[in-house]
Amino acid sequence: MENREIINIDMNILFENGKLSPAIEWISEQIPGGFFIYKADGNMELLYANKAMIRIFGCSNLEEFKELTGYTFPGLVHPEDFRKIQDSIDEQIAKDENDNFDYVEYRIIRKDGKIRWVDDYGHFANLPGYGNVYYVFIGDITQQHNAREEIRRRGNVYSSMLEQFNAFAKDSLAVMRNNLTSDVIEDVKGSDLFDTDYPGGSVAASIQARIDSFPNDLDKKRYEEAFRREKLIERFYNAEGPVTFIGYSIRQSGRSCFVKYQRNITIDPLNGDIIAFGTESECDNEKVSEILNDKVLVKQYDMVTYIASDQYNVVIGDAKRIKRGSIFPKKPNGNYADYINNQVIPAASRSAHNIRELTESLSLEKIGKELEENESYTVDVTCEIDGEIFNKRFTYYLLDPDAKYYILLKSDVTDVLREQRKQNELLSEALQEAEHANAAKTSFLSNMSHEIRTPMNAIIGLDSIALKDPNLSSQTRDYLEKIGESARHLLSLINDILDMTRIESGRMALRKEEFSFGTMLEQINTMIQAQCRDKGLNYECRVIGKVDDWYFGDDMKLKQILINILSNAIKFTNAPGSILFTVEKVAEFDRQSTLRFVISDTGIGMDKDFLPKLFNPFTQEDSSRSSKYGSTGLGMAITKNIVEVMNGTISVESEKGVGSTFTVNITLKNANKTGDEQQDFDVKNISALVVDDDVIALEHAKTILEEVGISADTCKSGAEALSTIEIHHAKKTPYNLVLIDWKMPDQDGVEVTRQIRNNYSDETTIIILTAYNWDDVMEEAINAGVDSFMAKPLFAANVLDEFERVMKRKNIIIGQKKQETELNGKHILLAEDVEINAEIIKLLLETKKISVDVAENGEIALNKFRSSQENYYDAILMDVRMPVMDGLEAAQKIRTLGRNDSKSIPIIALTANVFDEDVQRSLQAGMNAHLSKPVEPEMLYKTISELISENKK
Amino acid sequence: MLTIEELKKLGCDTDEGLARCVNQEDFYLRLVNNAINCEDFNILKEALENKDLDAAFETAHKLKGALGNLSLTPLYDKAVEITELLRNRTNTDYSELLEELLKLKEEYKALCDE
Repeated sequence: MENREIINIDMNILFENGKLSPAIEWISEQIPGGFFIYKADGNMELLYANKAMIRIFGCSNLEEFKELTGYTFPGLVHPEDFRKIQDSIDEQIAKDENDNFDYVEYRIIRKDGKIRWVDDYGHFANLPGYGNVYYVFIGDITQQHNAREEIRRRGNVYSSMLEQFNAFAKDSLAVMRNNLTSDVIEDVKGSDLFDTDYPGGSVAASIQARIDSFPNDLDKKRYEEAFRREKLIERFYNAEGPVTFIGYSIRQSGRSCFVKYQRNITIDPLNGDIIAFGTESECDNEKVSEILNDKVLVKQYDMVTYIASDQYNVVIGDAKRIKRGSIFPKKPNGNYADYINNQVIPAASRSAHNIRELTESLSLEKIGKELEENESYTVDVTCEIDGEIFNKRFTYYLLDPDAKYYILLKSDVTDVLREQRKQNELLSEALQEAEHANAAKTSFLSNMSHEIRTPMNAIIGLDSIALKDPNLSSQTRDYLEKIGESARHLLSLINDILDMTRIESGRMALRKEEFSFGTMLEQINTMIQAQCRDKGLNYECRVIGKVDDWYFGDDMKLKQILINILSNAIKFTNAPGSILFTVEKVAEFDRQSTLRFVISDTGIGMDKDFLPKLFNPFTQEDSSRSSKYGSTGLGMAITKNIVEVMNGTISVESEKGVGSTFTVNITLKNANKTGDEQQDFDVKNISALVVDDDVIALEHAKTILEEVGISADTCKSGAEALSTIEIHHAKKTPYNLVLIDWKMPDQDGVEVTRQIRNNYSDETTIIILTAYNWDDVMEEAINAGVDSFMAKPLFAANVLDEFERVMKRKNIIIGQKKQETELNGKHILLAEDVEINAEIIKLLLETKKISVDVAENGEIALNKFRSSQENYYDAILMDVRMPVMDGLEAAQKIRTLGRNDSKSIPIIALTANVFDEDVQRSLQAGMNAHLSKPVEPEMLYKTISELISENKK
Repeated sequence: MLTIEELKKLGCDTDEGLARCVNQEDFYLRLVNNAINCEDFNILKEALENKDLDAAFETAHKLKGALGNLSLTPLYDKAVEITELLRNRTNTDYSELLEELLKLKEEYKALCDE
């Protein structure tokens, strides 16, 4: 203001003759401030500048000053400021019409390049001889300017803090404006304040309240250390910025949580007091996330990064903390593809990765595609680093679906996979062990059954042979019968155990065959009736309503179920009790019939408590019973299991001392057959061959077969059997039943069967006899052509049943004629040297309208055949013993003629010799069959007809 | 006179023999006549006298076949006996057996010649 006084004078007096008057100039040179005059028009050329001006601009003389500024007003001003101040000056002068004063501040650039702020008091005047000019006083105000700026900045900080303060108040436990200088709470808001928190309250008291809210002494100490008033003031002066502390606190309301305390310290621009803006907010989530980030994530993932616009940025992960082999990126951020190609792929390529595939899996394109559909996408990478294998897992999540930003978590799964592999190995070892144990159990049971059955064979076989001796004393006979009984009982126990193992291993197979229900019942009744009679029990079997004669299913198993229950009933019923067996069809639907079998007895009954355990293996109500009633305790368990395999149900009701009632429901398919169509099965028509290397077994089998009226031949080896079968085949008296032992030296039964089938297809029923459990070879055996299996030793009761069943299944009707061809018009070449024989045979053939050419010896026969048209002769009858060339030679020569029919034409040997060697010799010579002389006409026709028919095929 | 009845009386199983000739009596009797008058009896005799056992066997075997075919049972049985001995070329005195055979044959021949 004083300055204004000074310059508020008529400036015209300053100039004399166009120059500053000497007095003015002297004064001008003495004053400390800068003073200059410049023209208002043109290039605003300076007319005068005092010494202070030169000093302000850091110049040492006028020349330097002129050089620096160009001696114009715009040359003085910072180029960025000129336009602004010029406008301001014009405006002020125009406004201030009376005094023509203006005031502006601007920057100047000194000679040393430093920028200073100056203030500028200007006066506009019109000087005669000079025109319009400005007189200007300037002073360096840099210091004042900076101080002012500082105050303004503080004001801004303060107000922004105030804004925050108000914004925070909503969500915070407490926000407060504390005047640290005067120790007064100026303002406080929040949802969970302490009693000390009110406007006008003491800051120190509120701090103490916080200290008291920490249950933990360490928190108390740390908080006090950081937040005490003096400390905060010190922070302000050291310009240390805001301070934060997280502590577990119990608030005034009683609520306990992690609280984040923050103090922003600033100065009140109005009064210069130091103010602390405090916020206190719950930060459980933050605290937990922090721990998750710092500890859990770091532990689980050796790297957390985000990928945005092809760049990755590591968020968590510290190369130093990470184990060897982590393929941690060399830079904390960079191009994702570069990282994969330069670090990951080379490490992976040392192990057996498919690189092209891996590169593709790790590409952003693939990641994007995968994450469109799935929440996460994982790629496992196996790396070899310094010869050690590491397993890395890259897991990607979507961060921003639109921008295609992803999170990548990289973890080391080497140990996990190793552990997993170890676990798997342990598991598979355990599994293997269990399998071994199971196999061992099965094989033990199989072997045991064989080991026991083999001597049982001998016992039962020899016993039955011994019993045939008519000269036995009655006592010895009694002993032998008891031996047989016990042996058979023991055998049934073994069978039970085998049944159980079959059931347990799921190998029990059901037959699906038509069977006669009536026959099955009859068989059951015959057996049970006899047992009841022996024990003095009354037995009755009633069929209620109509039950079909034929059903489709497994009658053997059904019979086993019923006999098991019935035998049980007999076992536990004392004379004079009774057993009632009823059969009823309870439902029929979709060609399936449900049959109900009820077996009730008046026996000793069972306790209610025991009933649920009845069907468990090895249980009997009174364990002392097993000795009294003699059994394994497997019977009921097997029965129940078979019922279940047949999809049936079994239940039992019982009362102690009154009796038991078993009910079985089984559903069977209806058979197509109705009524009694059972085919005649005449044992007289069976010709059987038994093959077994064990002579006793062989003898026993023959005995059993003869018992049921079947005549049987025996062979001691597979080779012998094959040649016997061959001879019988050639003699047109083939066996229709062959029983072969499975285990034999040289060739086992299955192998023998295979050869029989190869040579004679299906004309014979083949049953394998074995003491072994045949489950394991069943498939192979059936493929080889075995029709059925029977356990050794044979029992008369089973034998016929099984034969009948198998033969029926094979559709072989005993005594059935093979397909025959009409003989009328056939041509036969007969080689026979004895005229009478030739004439007889010729007559026989001619009565069937067969044309016959007779050759007197083999040579003539050979020539006749050779000169005949191919396929002219339908068959050759060849006498073996002939002059000139015998039949064997002739047959051999015919076979090697090389004509189309020479191999195939049936040649039938005729001979008076019926020794097997002769038959074999003719077969070896290439003949198909062998008829013994004198020939039976029917046999002759049949043989010719069958052979022609076979040849035609 | 060679008839079925006469042959039966001699112990032949004519039913079987006839059956083999499909019950053609004429045919059967003709063949029997042929058999009784065939040269083989003489050939056999000669061979045995010459101790030609091979030839003897051949012939005996042939005879046996023919006789068997016609069910001339007594003759057949005798032929079998001789044949089986000859089969093993048993070097024995066949004259008694041969005589029996020829004697039997004469009985049939008598019938034929009547």
